[in-house]
Order: sequence, then structure tokens, then C-alpha cells
Amino acid sequence: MSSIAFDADLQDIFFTVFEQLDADGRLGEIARFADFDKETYQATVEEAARIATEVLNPINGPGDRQGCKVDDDGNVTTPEGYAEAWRTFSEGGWIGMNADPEVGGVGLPNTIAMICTELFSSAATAFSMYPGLTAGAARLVHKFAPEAWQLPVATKMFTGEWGGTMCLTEAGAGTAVGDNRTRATPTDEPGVYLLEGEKIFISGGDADFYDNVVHMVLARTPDAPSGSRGISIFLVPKFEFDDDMNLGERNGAKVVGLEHKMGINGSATCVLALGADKPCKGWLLGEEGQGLPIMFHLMNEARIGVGVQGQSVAAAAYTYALKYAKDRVQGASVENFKNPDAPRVAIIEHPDVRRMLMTMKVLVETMRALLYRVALYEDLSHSDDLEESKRKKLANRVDLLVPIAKAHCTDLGFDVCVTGVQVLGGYGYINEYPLEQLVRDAKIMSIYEGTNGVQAMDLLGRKLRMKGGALFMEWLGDSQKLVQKTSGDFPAEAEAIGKALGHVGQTAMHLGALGQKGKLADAMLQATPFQAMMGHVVLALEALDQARVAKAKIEAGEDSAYLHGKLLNLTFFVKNLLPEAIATGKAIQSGDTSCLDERLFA
Amino acid sequence: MKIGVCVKVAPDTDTRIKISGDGAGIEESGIKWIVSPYDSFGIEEAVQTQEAQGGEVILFSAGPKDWQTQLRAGGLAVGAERAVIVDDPALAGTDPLGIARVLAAGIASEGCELVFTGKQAIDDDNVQVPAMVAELLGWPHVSFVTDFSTDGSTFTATRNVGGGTQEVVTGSLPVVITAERGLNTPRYAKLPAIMKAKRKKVDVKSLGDLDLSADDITPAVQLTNFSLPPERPAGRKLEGDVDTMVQELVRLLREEAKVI
Ligand SMILES: Cc1cc2nc3c(=O)[nH]c(=O)nc-3n(C[C@H](O)[C@H](O)[C@H](O)COP(=O)(O)OP(=O)(O)OC[C@H]3O[C@@H](n4cnc5c(N)ncnc54)[C@H](O)[C@@H]3O)c2cc1C
Repeated sequence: MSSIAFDADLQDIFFTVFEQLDADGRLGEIARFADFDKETYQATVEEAARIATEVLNPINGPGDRQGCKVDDDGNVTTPEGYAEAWRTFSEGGWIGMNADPEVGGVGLPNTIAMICTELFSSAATAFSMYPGLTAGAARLVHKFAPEAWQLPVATKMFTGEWGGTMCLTEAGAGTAVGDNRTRATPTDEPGVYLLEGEKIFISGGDADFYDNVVHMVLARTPDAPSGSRGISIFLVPKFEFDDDMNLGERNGAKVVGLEHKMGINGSATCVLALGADKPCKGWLLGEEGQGLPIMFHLMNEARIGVGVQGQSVAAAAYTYALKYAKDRVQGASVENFKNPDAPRVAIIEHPDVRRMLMTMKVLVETMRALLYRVALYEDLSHSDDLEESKRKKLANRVDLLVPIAKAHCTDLGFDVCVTGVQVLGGYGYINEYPLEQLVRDAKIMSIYEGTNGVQAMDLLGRKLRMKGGALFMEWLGDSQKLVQKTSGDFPAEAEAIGKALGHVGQTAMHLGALGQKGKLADAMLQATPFQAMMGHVVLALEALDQARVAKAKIEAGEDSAYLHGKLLNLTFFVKNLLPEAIATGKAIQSGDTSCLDERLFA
Repeated sequence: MKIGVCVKVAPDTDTRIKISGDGAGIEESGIKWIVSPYDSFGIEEAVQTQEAQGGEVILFSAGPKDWQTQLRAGGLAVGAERAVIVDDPALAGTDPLGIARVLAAGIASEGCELVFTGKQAIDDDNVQVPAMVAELLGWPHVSFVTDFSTDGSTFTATRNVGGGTQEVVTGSLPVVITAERGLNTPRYAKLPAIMKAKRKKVDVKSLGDLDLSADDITPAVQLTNFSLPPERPAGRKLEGDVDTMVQELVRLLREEAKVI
């Protein structure tokens, strides 16, 4: 039993998606979404919030303490309540919320699906990984599985009768996916291979609430070239099935162990043996050698999804900490500190606690804005109803921001949870309160789906250089436009953010010049600091944009403490957090390479 | 069988109520509105009955047409077929009897044979409208029901009568049933149903459409003044040795709390 009730911040969610981003208006221009409107979006999000609060959050703490089990046949038992939650989820259509109706989906825009995902993950991160991975795997099946299976298997998955996983990682192939060693040998049956090897760290490798599980497995065919180009991807079911989806024999993919880990204990992290005690059949997706290109179809979605996880735990931490700070009475106000009989106050009166809560608030709300924006641009960029040039620009922006959405939101997400523990003091550290679990659950997010170090290198080494630097220059240009547009309303803040943008540009030039001189290590040494710097400026821009919208509403007569909070967010961000970005830029440009000195760690 | 459900839209349970400037109502801006939770039990029971017996579930509300947002999300998306909202300026000052007249007229005009509703609305807590609706329709009425079944012509309803005693009432339709917590667990709306609810029919009617006029709902009761309950005083800690504390406690229970 958690001692503080879980709450979804629907006010901020609706402000961000409808008022700031005008998502209903912009999605309304797309034929594919013509059936929806603001009212259905709102009803959907409210129902998701209800399920998050009433169904998912109650199983989050107990699931963490109970964890998962596996028996000798490789069958995983999930914590109590997971099966029922899965049923509610499947029957409600939530696994396939943004999937095509032809595979049992509802066809919601990613923007709205992301909000629901945020709520589910905020309430119970570990549980929500099962539907998340199942949906991801189902999308690959829908597009790339043998044709007769595309619709029926994807439908089984999107409706929760079957589950799905992503199997990339091996003991020797983590970040370096290209070093995969699992072997796939062709059989006489076209498209069918026998797989041998061992996958580790497979999330949701099995569960007790569906009839079958379909693994998406990376493996190498016999004569494949070394490295990434030699990797293929296979559909590997736990039970074989025929074209009518009747289950047949047990296939030789078997969970042979579970990791004991720091957090997300309700999510079974499995060792999956392929072809160890019986042959393991795999069906090729696409063609041989297309493993990574096919997997990359999911990359943006998966990375944004993990960014949302980071933001979602931060959102939970913030709402818990805020409630707690209003209730917990401790000490007198600082004005009365010498008077032992002074009235005791709620800790939210203490300046240091307010500073912590404000930091949490502004980060949670700006990360939310960034993620919703990326999801909205993703929706719009896939729509034929928009001009080609507009679509390209939106797609460029998504590509540029994805590593920031993933890395910055998971790094900050963890930090916000840690701050949440601090707000609660000792009560934050004990498991009677939900904060310590959030910290443990949050940590994995900076590691999986491409470590944050890899994200930073993707930003600096690829995204900044893509299309001759066009993605970055477009972003700088649009950002400067926002700065100009708001400079009347917020002269000091807009100017500061404008200067920070200049710093980001200069820092990028500095690093680019290192690259051109062939000093790759010197440049990549600064990838993570650069990502953090640019990430902070990206969030500052969201604070500015939200303040713009809030101010317009206030001037139109709709004054409220909530809207005023958006103006305070901007001031706080610019005065307290933005200087970190400037300082980081200076540190990067100092050109220090002491960590690369050969004598270090010798 | 046509099954009616009377539904009120009320402020969410955790709303912090503020009294409006004139003291005769509450501040409505910034409130999150929901289907009154006991009415949700009524909707669920109606839908379950419809699933077993066939027919159609119709929601009835006397209130602003904006309630259709909540009626769609909390009713049409969980299995009700359509809704009738009677929205008329004259409703603003009416009382429970006026509301009951409107609902009864709506129910009669649709030819319903069974009506569910919550045992009370969570805002006014008046517990008056359902019995009045039944009376106006000339139907029997079973209140605080925790279990219900019907074969389409007769029904059995279980109600709590307090002290752990239950009463089982049987009879024949039509009947008005009011739902107590425990009658059922309202289902979650499924995504496709949320989408479908958007296209379901909500009829907005005036008093005239039901052959009523403002005179028919002239209030007998007027609300003139609202005030918040006094704040709960802080707890008190008794001091001294056990004897003194016990004596003080007994004194307090007798003189202040007046419970012994
Ligand atoms: C709980 C959990 C769930 C997971 N779920 C899944 C899953 O469902 N499916 C799946 O396939 N995998 C999954 N993983 C695996 C996860 O994606 C990997 O752990 C991750 O990719 C990192 O690989 P690694 O652990 O081998 O670390 P390594 O690759 O050894 O990395 C160690 C450190 O070195 C850095 N590093 C490595 N290479 C470079 C480089 N070239 N340049 C700079 N720095 C580098 C990394 O950033 C990191 O800091 C999961 C892991 C965990 C713990």
C-alpha cells in the first residue's frame, strides 16, 4: 500500500497538448484522424488515467517486492494482479491504441497514445513494459512477417492474446549490436531457419497472461558478412502455430533464467536460450541481412518511448513529493527559527523544499512538452495531407530531437526521482513510500534502448551532420524565431535563451572543427556534455513557449495560479537551469582532454 | 426492453468546493465534472441487464446540454445506446420535485419499463429524486439495492436495511431501482467504444418537447445560503498520569462529545 495516492496531472497534460501544441487542431487536418476530435481525445486520456490510478498503480509496489519467477520449463510467473491488469488492458484496446484497425488497433494518433503511455508508465513502469514491447514487436510483424501471418499474428498481439519481445542483446553484444553471434541456419523449408545461441536481458521474455509469445530475434546466417550488415531478424514463437493461428508444438526458445536487478522487478528480464534443448525454429522477416534496417523502423518510436518512461517516473515523483510536502509538518518557518514555540509548518513552506519542488515541476512540465511535440511532429510527418516540404522538415526535427528526448528525459527523469526522495527525507528512502522504487525503476532507462552515451554520440556524430547540418540549422532558425516572437512579452528571458542558442551553435562548431581535424576522440569525449547542454536549451524553449501561451490566456482574462506557474517556470528555468547549459558549453570549448591521457588509469 | 437510467453530472469527488460570491451556490469554474458515482452503478446495472435481456439503455438527464461530454464518456462509452438531456432555462432554480417531473416525463415519453439510478447524487446528497420519479410514474421503487436480477417481467432486488440485515424484494416490472455501492463494479470504457460513443445520439430537449412548462416545475424549495462546514479542530493530547488522563477523557466524552 502506497501511503500517498497516485495522481495524474490532467490539467498540465491537457494544457500542453491542446493549448500549447494545438494538437487537436493540427491532427484535425489529417484525414486518417478525421474520426477523432478533442472530446474523444480527452475521454481517452481520462479513461487511461482512471485505469492507471485504479488498476495499475495498486499493483506497482507489490509487484516490485514480489518480482517474477520462472520454472524449469521456462514459464514465467508475473506478480499478483498483473494478469488481471493485462486483461483490462487487452480488452480495452490499449495495446493497439495507435495501431491500424486492420490489425485490431484503434488508430489513435501517436500523440494521444503517448499521453496514455505516460500515464500507464507513471503508475506502473514495470507492468507497462509488457504491452509496450508487445506493441513494438507487433508493428514489425505487421510490416515484415511472412505475408500470411502479417495480419493474424499482429492482431493476436495487439489484442493481447499473444505477447512480444525484442531480442538484440547477447553477452558479447550489448551496445555493439553488430557483434551478434546467434546463428541462423536455413532449413529445407523456405524462410524457415534453425536458431542457436543465447539472448540475455530480454524484457518480458515470457509471461503467464497470454497464450504465446513471439520473439523478434537478431541472428547471423552462415555466410553473412561480419558486422551489422550480416544481421537478419527472425520471428521466433514460444509455440509454433499454423496459418489459422492454432497453436502447435513447443518451439526451442526457452527462458532459462531471470536477472535479479535494481528495479522494474515486475518486468521479467530473461535469459533466452535458443535451440539449447530442442531445435528452435525462426521465420525470416524481410530478407537476409536486413535485420538492423528492419529494427530501425522501430528505433525512433522505441527511443521516444523510453524518453516518455523517464518523464513519467519524474511526473509521478513530483506529484507524490508535492502532496507529501503539503502535508508533512516539520519545523518552524525560517523567520521564526529562534522561537521554540513558533507554530510548526508544512515543509512546503521551507525555501529549500520549494526549490526542490520547483526544479522537479519545471523539468517534468518541459520534458512533457518536448515529448508531446516530438510525437505530434511524428504524426504530422507521416501524413500525406501535408506538403512534402513541411513533412520533411517535421521528420528532420524528430530525427534531431530523438536522442535528446531519450537521453535527456531519462537522465533528468532519474534526477527528479532522486530529488523526490530528498523532499520526503527519511520517508523517501523507505519502501513504505513510493519514491525509492521510482529511483530504482528509473535507472534502467538511461541504459537500455541505446545507452545515453550512445544517444549523445548519435546526436553529435550523426544528427548534427545529417543533410549537411540542415537539421540542426533548421532547429536553430525556428528557435530564434520563437525567441523573437516572445521578446516583447518576456524580454529578459527571451534574450537569455537567444544567447544560449548562440552558445549551442558555437559549441557545435567547435566540436565540428575537431572532427574535421580528425580529432574524433576529442570530439566524442564531449558528446554527453553537449547533449546535456542542448537538451537544457531545448527544454528552456518549451518553458518559453508555454509561458507565451499562458500569458496570452491570462491577458484574455483567464487568470489562475496554474497559468501563473507557467510564467514562474520560465523565470526559474532561465535564472537557475539555463546557466548550467552555458557553463557546460564553456567547459566543452575549453578543449580539455585530460581524460584521454594515456597515463590515466594505467 | 427499454431501460432508463437517470444520470446527474456532479463535481469530481476530490474537488475542493468554494462557495460562490452570492452565497447561493458554488464556484463552478475549474471544477472537473463526472457522472455521479452512484449513477455509474446504475448505468452498469442497466447495461448488464440489457446484455442479458436485450433491448436498449437510454440515459436521462435534466441539466445543461454540456453534460453530454460526461454522458458520452461515462455512459454511452460503456454500453448505453443514447441519451436524452432536458436543458431548459427554467431548470436553473427548480428543486428535486421539479427535476423528478422532468425525468419522469422523459422516461414516460420513451416507454421505459425499468429505471435505474444512483441512491443519491454526490453533490446535493438529497436522496429525493428517484422516489419522486417512481411516484410520478406510478411505479414501485426499491432503494439502496446491492443485488438485482430480472427475467424481463419480474425482478428480485436485495437491499441493505442496516445492522447487517438484508431485505429481499420481489415484484414485477416496471420499477425504479436505486443503486448502492456494491451492486456491481462499473466497467472501464474500451477504446473502440469511446470512439463509437462520439456518434451515438444525444437528444437535447426543452420542457415544451415533453409537454411541460416552467409552471410545472416551480420550486417549492429554494436554496438561499451555502456555507462550508467548520474546520475540524486540531487533535488534543491529554497530559499527566494515567488517572488524571482517564478522568479528563471521561469528562470530555461526557461534556464535550456528549457520547456517554
Ligand atoms: C532490465 C534490462 C532490460 C533490458 N531489456 C532488453 C530487451 O528487452 N531486449 C534487448 O535486446 N536488450 C535489453 N536490454 C539490454 C540493454 O539494451 C543493454 O544492456 C544495453 O544495450 C547496453 O549493453 P551492455 O549492457 O552490454 O553494456 P555495454 O555495451 O558493455 O556498455 C557499457 C558502457 O560502455 C559504453 N559504451 C559501449 N560501447 C561504446 C562505444 N562504442 N562508445 C562509447 N561508449 C560505449 C556504454 O554507453 C556503457 O556506458 C535490457 C537490459 C536491462 C538491464
